[in-house]
Amino acid sequence: MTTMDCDEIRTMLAGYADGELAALEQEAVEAHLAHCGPCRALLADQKRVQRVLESYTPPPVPAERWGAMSRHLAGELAGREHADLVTQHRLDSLDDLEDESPSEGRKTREPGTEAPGQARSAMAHALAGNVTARSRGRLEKLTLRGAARRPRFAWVAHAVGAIAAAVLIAVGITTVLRTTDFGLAPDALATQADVTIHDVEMLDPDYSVIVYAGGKKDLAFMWVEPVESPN
Amino acid sequence: MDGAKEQSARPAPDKRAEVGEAARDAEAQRDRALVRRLQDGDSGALDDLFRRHREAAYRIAYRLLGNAEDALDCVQESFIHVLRGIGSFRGQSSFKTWLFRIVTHAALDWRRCRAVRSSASLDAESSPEPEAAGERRRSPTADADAADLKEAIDKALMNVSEKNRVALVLYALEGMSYQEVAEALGISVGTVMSRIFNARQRLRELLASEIG
Repeated sequence: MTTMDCDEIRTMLAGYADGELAALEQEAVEAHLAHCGPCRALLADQKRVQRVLESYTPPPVPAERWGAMSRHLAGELAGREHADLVTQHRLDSLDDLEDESPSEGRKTREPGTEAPGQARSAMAHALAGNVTARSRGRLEKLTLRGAARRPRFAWVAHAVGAIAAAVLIAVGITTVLRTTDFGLAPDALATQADVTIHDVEMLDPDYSVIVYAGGKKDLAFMWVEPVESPN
Repeated sequence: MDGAKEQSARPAPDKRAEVGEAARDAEAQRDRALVRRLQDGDSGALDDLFRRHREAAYRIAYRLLGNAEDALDCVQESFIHVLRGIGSFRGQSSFKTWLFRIVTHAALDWRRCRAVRSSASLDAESSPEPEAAGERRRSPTADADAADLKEAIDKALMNVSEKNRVALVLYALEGMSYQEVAEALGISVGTVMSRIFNARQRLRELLASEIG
């Protein structure tokens, strides 16, 4: 067995005092201690401090304090279980919808309404760490489906955009018409892009006009020019 | 009081060898069963786990904080943390090791926050004042010698470096093995041994007048 110096032995002295060394290490320490007074003194210090610590206990906690804490934790658990139940209910509701045939699904709800809302709610719950692994897998599926679904009012946004474009075109054309001879062909007074001006009607001498415009399938569009002051 | 019963039921450190691996395995097995029940939403399992480990959690927190009220708040916070994480707890370490790691981190965070609050407060005291649970000042009728030694130990522990104190508290005061302390702290067994040695030597210096 190789002999160890004091520094090496001291790295193991606590383990020796606590009986945590392997047999070979223990033998090495004992061999060193047999002829080293300072290390024996250190070992005695380790054991003395340990004995003092073992006799030391924190102040006892009153039973009612533990009881109050236990009730608080039970309340925490109940709150989390309630949240889980709500999430589970929502997921189960969504499953019910998923189980319906596509045509039945369309009959019972408008496209892109409940499901994305449920997915968002459930995902928020998942972020709070309240759902099971099974639920998480379903949530991932829901989120992907929700992301792929068209926004609810996409057609409205498109319609508004088209109208705004028509208004801009009509304003420009009306400005031209105000300084133009109105004796042009009645069905196509002017054309820009794919919007056709079908008719222009003067309402009064103060240049209030109505422009009938639009594409092939669009309804006629009305534009009323603001009345200008005489001067 | 069931707390006192739990304290007396805990094996004394000098009888640690008698407890043996079989008893530890049985305790760990019992914890695993309770964890599974809690993961299934059994509130009774939470209460059982709380009763089994609250005293040990309190002792760790108290010895790291030196203050009973803070230690109790820390214990409550730790068990709430357990509730939040129990769904993802896979049992790679024992529940006890996992809990003690949570308590240790919570206590150290608590201590750092308290240090910040103290430095920001004009009325803050320069060092933590050990105190009994449920009261802010020690009873003047308490046994003088025991109280003096206890207070000396409290103050001495607070003057041991944080990393050494944590290792010593978990091993020497809570009966964890070196291996369990190493797992709880994410360090090697050799480092645990070194930290415990240094913590005891530091305490030996600080308590020289009390323990001779």
